[in-house]
Amino acid sequence: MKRLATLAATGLVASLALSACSSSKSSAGGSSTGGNSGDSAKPVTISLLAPSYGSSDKDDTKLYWQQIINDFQAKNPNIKVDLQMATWDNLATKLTTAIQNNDAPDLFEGGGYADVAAQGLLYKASDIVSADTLKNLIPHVAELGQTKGADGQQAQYGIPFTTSTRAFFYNTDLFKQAGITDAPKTWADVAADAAKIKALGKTGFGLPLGSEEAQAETYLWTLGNGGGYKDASGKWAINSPQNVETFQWLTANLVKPGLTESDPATKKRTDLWKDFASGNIGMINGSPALIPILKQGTIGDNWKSVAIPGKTGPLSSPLGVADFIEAFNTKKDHKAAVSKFLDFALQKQYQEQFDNEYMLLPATQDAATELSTQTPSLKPFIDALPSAAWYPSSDPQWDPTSQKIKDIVGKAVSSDPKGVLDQIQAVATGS
Amino acid sequence: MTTHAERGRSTRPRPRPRRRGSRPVLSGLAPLAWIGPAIALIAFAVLWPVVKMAQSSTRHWSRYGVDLGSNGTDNYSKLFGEQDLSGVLMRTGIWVVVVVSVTMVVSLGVAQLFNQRFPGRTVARWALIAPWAASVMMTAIIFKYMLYQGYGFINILLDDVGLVDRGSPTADWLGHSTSGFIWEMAVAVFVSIPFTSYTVIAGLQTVPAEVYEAAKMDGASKVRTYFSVTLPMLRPSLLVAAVINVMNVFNSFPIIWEMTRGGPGYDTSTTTVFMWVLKKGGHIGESAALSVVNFLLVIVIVFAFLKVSKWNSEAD
Repeated sequence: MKRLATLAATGLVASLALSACSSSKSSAGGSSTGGNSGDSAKPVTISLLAPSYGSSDKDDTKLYWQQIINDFQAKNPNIKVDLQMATWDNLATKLTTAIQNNDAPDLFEGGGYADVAAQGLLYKASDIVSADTLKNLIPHVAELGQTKGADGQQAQYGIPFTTSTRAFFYNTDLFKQAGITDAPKTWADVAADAAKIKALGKTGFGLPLGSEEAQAETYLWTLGNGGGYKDASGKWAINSPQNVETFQWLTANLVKPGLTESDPATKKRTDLWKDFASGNIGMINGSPALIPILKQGTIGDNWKSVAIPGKTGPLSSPLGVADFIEAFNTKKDHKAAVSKFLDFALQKQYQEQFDNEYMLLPATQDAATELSTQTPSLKPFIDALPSAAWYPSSDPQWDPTSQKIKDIVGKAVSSDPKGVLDQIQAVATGS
Repeated sequence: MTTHAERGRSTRPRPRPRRRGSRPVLSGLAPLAWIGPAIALIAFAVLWPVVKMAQSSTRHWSRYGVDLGSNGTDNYSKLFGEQDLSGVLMRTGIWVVVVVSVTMVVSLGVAQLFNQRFPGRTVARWALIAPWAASVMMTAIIFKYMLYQGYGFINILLDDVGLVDRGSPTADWLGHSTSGFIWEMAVAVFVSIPFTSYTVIAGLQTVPAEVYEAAKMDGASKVRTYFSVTLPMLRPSLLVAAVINVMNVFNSFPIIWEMTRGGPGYDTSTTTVFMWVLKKGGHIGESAALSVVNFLLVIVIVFAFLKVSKWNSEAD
């Protein structure tokens, strides 16, 4: 019995030690207070968490931010900006963990804001950026940043940073080899063309339904069948018959016949984009951000982008994606510095620099006007922004829903789509 | 045949216990000076976290970790209402049983081999430590790379010997839940073998040469010697190795997380991975409830395991 007890005790301690390892850090609090006492203008360190839009070391967004930060620090020697980068894949997790540990960054650039705004963790846009900057935001994109705050009032919390629209890309070289003359306009075209490309020994269509950006791919396909995330009345309709049908079609016509990469449920967008850039995939949905990747790839100029095919014809409104900046109010003494930095970072020159580097679209009006004339290839995308379909990102349920979609929607092309979509709908409606 | 306990026992007579009453209260507390730190450590590092864990599983947490008050057993009913939980529990069972038993069997062989004298044994023993010394996460990532469809090393190898077409859907090992999970179990076995083998080697070295001599004299065959002499004498070290492996494997997170993120869907998640998935999705309370369940499960499994092995040892 003695040995039993000793072993059991060892076991107890060991299992605790192990579970202690797996549990997250306790609320250690702000590591970046940095305020030394005494000085006339107190030095302060603010933090910024942002994703990388690039695909290699050379075009890492870190370099973009670092330049802004250097320029800014040169003018404001008392303010330091601590830059943290994340991949899109773990950006949301990183932010959630930081907030759970009571160590939110002062500024966050990326996805949703509604959920955090509802918790009362964000500054209103009007409280943190100057009136001039606020006026300069493209009005209908700025409107997307509105949501209900903790006080129950509708206000703008998300400050748009960059926008983009999605398009359908195809490899013209492979199309020629396969004897396809026209770009696909309907789902049936996509399936037929994919089959011809598969005959060449390549992947017909790249379908990234893995955890990175499945919510975009899902939206693009469901929009093509008159579905989407919400119905006309603004209610969540993720398990609508149109959406179920969309996944049934995908399963039967693309995935089962092997016209996509294998196991779409586990594939990332960035990996497939790179595969497309090296000429291994015939067709894929992408944003203008794919263009710089294509320039680096072996595909060269052998690609075209057209409107995204729907079930019966191309989508009339492109999917628009806006990435927002959120300003967290957890460190009150950082407010002035954060505000100064935001006004600085949203200047025209930096917006343009970003858009020229990644072929994305601006969020401010002066940059939009100037880019329309300077970079004609972006003009049609900028002009299309007002008619775009957007994520329901002003709904506080969008963040958890988007996470659930990333987690499980891939299974909708390998098992019963209705069951999978029901599960996501349950998260969206909070039941 | 002497056991460890008997051998370790001192032959000197024990000092007689002091008579009570001669130096009353204070002397009674004297041992506290020695065991006090240990008690404090256990209270702080063992009991307090357990209490905290149990407490947090009964609170209502916002998505971002704000405590919104008591929640009763709500977190638990939500957890047990999770559609994926039964699959996750079953997978955890398979994970522990398969990984631990394969590890034990393989390690017995490895230990036997490494206990032989052969040239280069020291180097070989050092090499055996490698998978143990390397970060488990790194090992998992390297295996993930080796299993890449098309150009992963393992796939190239399998292609070369003509087993699998490396571009085929089969070669996308980590894309399917079944093959992905099997590979993850293989990696878990791979990283568990060094520790287990060393424990068994240590056990083998405590077996005195005389018993083997005696067995030889009695004309026992090699197989008979192994099963009737070696294995029974290895029981203590096997027991330790098994218990520690059970807990280690049960709580293992990095292998599954790095190789498949518990997906597709949650189809390769064990309870430990699912705990993180729940937390990531903002269900902190539910995640806390699962960690309580997880904790109780480990304790039950370990106690059941020890009970069974104890019962065995009394039978013979």
